[in-house]
Amino acid sequence: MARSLSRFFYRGLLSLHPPSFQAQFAHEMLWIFDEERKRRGATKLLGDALLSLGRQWIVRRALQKWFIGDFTLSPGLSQIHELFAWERIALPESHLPLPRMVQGSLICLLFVMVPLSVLYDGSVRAIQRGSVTRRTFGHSRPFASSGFQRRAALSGLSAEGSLGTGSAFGDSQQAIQSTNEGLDGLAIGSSHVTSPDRNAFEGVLTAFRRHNIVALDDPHGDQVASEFRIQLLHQPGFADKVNDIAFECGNSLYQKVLDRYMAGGKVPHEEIAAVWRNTTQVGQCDLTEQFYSEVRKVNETLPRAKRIRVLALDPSIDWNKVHSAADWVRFMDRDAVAASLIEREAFQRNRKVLVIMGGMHLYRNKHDSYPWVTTLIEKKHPGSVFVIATLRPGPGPNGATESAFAELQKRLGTSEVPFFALLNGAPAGSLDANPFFQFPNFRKVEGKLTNMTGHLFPGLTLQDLADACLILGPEKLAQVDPKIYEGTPYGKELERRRRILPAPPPPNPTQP
Amino acid sequence: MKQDISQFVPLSPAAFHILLALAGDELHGYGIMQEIVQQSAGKYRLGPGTLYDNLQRLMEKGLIEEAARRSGATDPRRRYYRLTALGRRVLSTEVERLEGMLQEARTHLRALKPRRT
Repeated sequence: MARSLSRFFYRGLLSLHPPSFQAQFAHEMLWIFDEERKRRGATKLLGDALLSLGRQWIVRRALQKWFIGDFTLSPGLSQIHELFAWERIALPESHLPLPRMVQGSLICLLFVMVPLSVLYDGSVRAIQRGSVTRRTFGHSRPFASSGFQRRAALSGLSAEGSLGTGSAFGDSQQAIQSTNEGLDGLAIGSSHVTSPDRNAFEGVLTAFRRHNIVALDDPHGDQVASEFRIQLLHQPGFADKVNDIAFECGNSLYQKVLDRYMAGGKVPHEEIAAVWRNTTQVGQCDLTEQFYSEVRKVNETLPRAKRIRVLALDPSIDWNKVHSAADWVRFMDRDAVAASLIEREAFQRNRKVLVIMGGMHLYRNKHDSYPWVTTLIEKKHPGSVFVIATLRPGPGPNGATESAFAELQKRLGTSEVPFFALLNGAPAGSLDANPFFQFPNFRKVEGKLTNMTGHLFPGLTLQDLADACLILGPEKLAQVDPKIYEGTPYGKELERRRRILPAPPPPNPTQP
Repeated sequence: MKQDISQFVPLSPAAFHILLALAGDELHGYGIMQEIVQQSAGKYRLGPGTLYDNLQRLMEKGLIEEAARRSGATDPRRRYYRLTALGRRVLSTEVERLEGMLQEARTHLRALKPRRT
């Protein structure tokens, strides 16, 4: 109802523009209104149309032309023809015809009514926002509000607080601990993500104008980043700009199953769950089910030709044939496999690919000789990948140090989240990259396992690593209850895989 | 005969951003809006009213023109615009003018020595 009313008003404003302007631009303006209304809000667009109306009738002299009849300006006056020219507005000798008078009255009325309605709408929104905020952050009835339920429906969070609502699967619903503490944090993250300023979503999508490959890093297991991606999927025009989503957490052995699932086919849960359960990375794809489910939902609303394909990037490991660490290691050429799949899709099939992988696969680390995904692709196609690094405050393994993050916000001139900003040549781009990545990392340096945490990118700045940054709030890690798979066939299989894998690096490193 | 470029500069911020957006490729109105958001890292946004008001003016001045409709375009409402040769020259002149201004401002600031009390 509100949508049709605002559209009606917008059409009304367009119809009051000079006929020549209407004939030339009104259709396109209405199209943009349809595209932008959700993102920017009808109020702003109505205000913009009102200003345009004023400019067209007053500043552009159309008023004179239309009411008085076109007349030639003297050469001297023509120099200022774009300024207000009230002194040359004259009354016609005969009375204006009735339709013209009605039209003039309507314009005057609109000049009064529209600002009033804008003010009224703004105050109502402010009241609603206040009410939602109180409910979301309050503790007495934390998740009862309709505002939260609306966001929850979008994000895949049920009002009861479990992830994966509406999904055909059960994994995540049970797997994620639904403590109030955890959900409070996610609600805070969500409220940031649904900020009225849509710059972050626009930034990511606009990058596709010049790049076939846009790579967004995935802080594994972080609910806030996951929430952002889901909201990105639901942005108007997403499917116009993105053909494929290449996702790290997916075993390419099951690509056909994944295609069938994304096309809306009936796929048993055990079959589709194999896509994220059977990757080379044991038990690290906890939020994948929710994401896949959301892509499927988006696809249900799209015509066949526009459906989004999800490309599983992990090597095609068959765990039935893996019995030792040596068997497993054969499938660890993960970056080469992923790069080859993305490259085929983006360059041979000329599709627009959103790559979602861990940051280390994507950042341009020129001092690192290991062939990561972006390095491999850009070796053949220089500058073809647009890399976006997620930056956020601590605490948390993917968070920045307090001082580094404060300096970043200062240079960006905003503390808004989510926020998207280009790095190359920008003041923020020259910041030292290391304080922004505090996750534990171990490398073999001169044959010795070395703790590189906080020293991953020696001498590199943010703009060396990525083309743009996405600022999110503090991370909130999804907490998997290890007991949920206990005694199940999958639980036993997980145990078997963990026994096969080589021992992880020490948990409490002492010396970098 | 070459037109006198100086009559077109300085450009308004909206006109400057539109010309800059069209410097790379021909775009439809919505594409121009998105390109401007990208170029300015989200700091400058045009509404459709402002955009088309400026497009009309720039077309009248001959700085941009409508490009031929694309075959197979998904939406018949989309009209594409591109820079004319004159528009390109005006944009270059404006960029030079801005560069000159910046340089002058920097020189001036450098010349200002901190006062000691």
